[in-house]
Amino acid sequence: MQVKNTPPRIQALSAPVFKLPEHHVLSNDISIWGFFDDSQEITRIDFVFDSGKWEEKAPEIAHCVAKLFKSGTHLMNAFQMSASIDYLGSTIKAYAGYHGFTISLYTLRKNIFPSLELLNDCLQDNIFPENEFETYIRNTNSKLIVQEEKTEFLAEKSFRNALFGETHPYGYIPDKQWVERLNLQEIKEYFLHQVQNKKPTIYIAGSYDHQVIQEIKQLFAQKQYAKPLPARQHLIYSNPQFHFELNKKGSIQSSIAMGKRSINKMHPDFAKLSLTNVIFGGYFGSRLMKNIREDKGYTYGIYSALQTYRHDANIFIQTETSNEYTRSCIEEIKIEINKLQQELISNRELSQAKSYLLGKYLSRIDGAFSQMETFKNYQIEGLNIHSFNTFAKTIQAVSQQDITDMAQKYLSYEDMYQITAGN
Amino acid sequence: MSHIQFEKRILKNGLTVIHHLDTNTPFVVVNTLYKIGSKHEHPTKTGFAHLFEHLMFEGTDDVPYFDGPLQESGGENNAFTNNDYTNYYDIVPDINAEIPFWLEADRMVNLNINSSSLKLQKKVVIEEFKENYINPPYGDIQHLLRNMVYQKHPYQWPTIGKNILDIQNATLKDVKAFYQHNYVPDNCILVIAGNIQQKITFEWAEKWFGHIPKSSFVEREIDSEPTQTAAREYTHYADVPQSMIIIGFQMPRRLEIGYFEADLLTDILSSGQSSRFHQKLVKERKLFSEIDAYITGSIDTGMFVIEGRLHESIDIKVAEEAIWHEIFKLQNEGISEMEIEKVKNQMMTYMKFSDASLLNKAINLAYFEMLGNVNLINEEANEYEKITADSTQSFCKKYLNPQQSSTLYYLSSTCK
Repeated sequence: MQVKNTPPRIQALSAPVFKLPEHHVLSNDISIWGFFDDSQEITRIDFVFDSGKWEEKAPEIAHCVAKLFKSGTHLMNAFQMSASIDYLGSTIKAYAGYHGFTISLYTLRKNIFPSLELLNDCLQDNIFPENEFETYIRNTNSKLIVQEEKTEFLAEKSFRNALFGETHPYGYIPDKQWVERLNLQEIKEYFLHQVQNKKPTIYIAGSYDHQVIQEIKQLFAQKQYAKPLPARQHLIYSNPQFHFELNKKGSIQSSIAMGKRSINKMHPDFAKLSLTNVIFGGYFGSRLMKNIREDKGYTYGIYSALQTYRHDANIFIQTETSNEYTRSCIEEIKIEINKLQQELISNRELSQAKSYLLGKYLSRIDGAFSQMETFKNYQIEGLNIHSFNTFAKTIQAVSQQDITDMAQKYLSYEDMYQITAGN
Repeated sequence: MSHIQFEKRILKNGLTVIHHLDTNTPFVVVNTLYKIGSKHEHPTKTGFAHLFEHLMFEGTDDVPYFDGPLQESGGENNAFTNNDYTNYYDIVPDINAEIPFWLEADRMVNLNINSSSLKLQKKVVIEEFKENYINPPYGDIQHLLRNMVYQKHPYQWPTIGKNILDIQNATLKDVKAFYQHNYVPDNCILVIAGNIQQKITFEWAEKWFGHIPKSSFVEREIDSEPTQTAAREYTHYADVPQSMIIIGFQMPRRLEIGYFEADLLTDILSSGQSSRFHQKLVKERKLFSEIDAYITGSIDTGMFVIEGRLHESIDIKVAEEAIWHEIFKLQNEGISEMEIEKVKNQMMTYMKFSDASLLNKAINLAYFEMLGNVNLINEEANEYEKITADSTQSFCKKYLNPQQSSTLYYLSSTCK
């Protein structure tokens, strides 16, 4: 008879610590942050401009600029440009976040130099041809018509609009009305002022050497940058109406979006609230998942997220459920909020969530590419990377009572937005 | 390509164990692959392999909540099922590397299956079915297309199942028999990757899995798909804003000659702004807002699929002819050296970035072992290197022809 093995003991995780990257400063004050890892012959370089959606004159401009980043120069049309980049096996992508406009290069180590040159050509000499702009508008409109058929899209759109206002950078999500009103002039202006003439911060991860740093210096140290324009101001217009029912004919499921404005990473409660969110709906073992999926079977998945931005934040609860369960699902969400506000959570549940979240922090420093991503996102959000270490330590110290306090302070549903889209 | 080192052993009960050391990470992945997918299902009991994947998280007497100890370890886990296999993975900080050994061995033999957990997971899976295949526009394309391309082979239905009824009808008896037959060491591949020494891996594999009895597992024969000889077409109307055209072709098996050509051909046709479809059909002729070519990557006879969404004013017959025009052009005029080099270079970069992920490496090791040759993880890059413009053109001539096509006209009901 086989003797049964004793289950292994689970070791507690220590708080992960972020190791500072290598730092070069160019003569014109541009920073290069380096995350070296030679185990693969691959490299990623990101150029981040402090602009993003926040510096748009109107919604969708920054996204359109990003999509047209490789649309052609005086020397190469869009096809030739893409073919040249693809031929090197490289990828160049531009992305407009809320506060950062990012151009990323993914390349084999051996092709860094020609790839960087192509990236720089796009950056210095993009001519935004009329036909490329028209193709973009035509296809984006067409895709958005399909999006509008999805209940999940409708619910999230309505949620963001209600929270921050229809044109606020945090408040809109891609919509036909914004795409149709775009014109090439404002695209070019945004590119000129918010990308081309703005000083980038440069992040490099993977395999590189001194020569690569030199090459980047060559490309960027010569340029003199004008004093940046003052940052835009955006007023938040929250809708005074909290509940919306969007009817989508023929749909057999409904999307539910709930939540409210919250605190961002600058706030002293951030680490505590983020752990509270994990317990509430932030992982597979959360209250929402255990009750609404694993006990009631109302949904394939339900989650809540604490979404933070440089100037604001929000809690966002999302799920899809058969139309007949919609009411019950919302009721159960409320029950879970109440429970978290009124009953002290067990030590076991607390420590499980802590370990899970510390494991998440550990994965954010797992390898050069993750480290770069984490470091960059902290900087874009306006934070010092030391906050990373502080958060990890704070999480370890959160008490049972803290969770109750956080739930009372930040999760009350009386002023929560509640959107359903379905039938 | 950087060489991925590994060590493979087979336990007495038939369990294959593969170890891969990566000291560059503070994590360990335990990846458990069972050679059971939706292609092993009975045509009247579809969606079963995937439903069962859900049940694998329902706990045992010792571990009533499977995810609990992993979360306490600072880890994460998930699983997926496809037509060919079911794959479970656990990612934990290296200090807790033994936890997943314990959990995976435990649920291989001690799973609690009862009518209440079955009833509950049926509900969850039905919601998943609705969320991904019924409620979203165009959600049923895979159901319609597979049914055309395959007449005999069980790739005829997608992993989620033919319909909700099959899931509703699953019985406790079926589920228990399925578990006993398929969730056995000799039908399983265990990969341990990350910051863990080889000696410890094999010691723990023996400690936790070694006592599980061998099952004398026999793989069920699967009907092979007869070669298609005449064009098939089907028209489907749905309440969607734009019409789509989907053309499917049967293509070589995963280990058959022609597979790599098929993969590279999809890139030539539709990968990125410099691809043929994008340049000609999206940009120049303005017929499609999106058009994509892809392969299913199946072990048995696979599918090569072209799928495009039309702008509202475009006649579907015009769009169809335009696709064929591009195919015939490639068949007659060939592919330039530059073009084939381009997609090969893209593939190399893709593979290297993919290898930078510990989880990808673990899943790939298990997958290639299932194919019968784990060394393929290091050999495939060379196989792609060997592909030529000529062999890709020949592939296109042989497989992408009208007599062997299945065309699905997915029409917006506003066209009716």
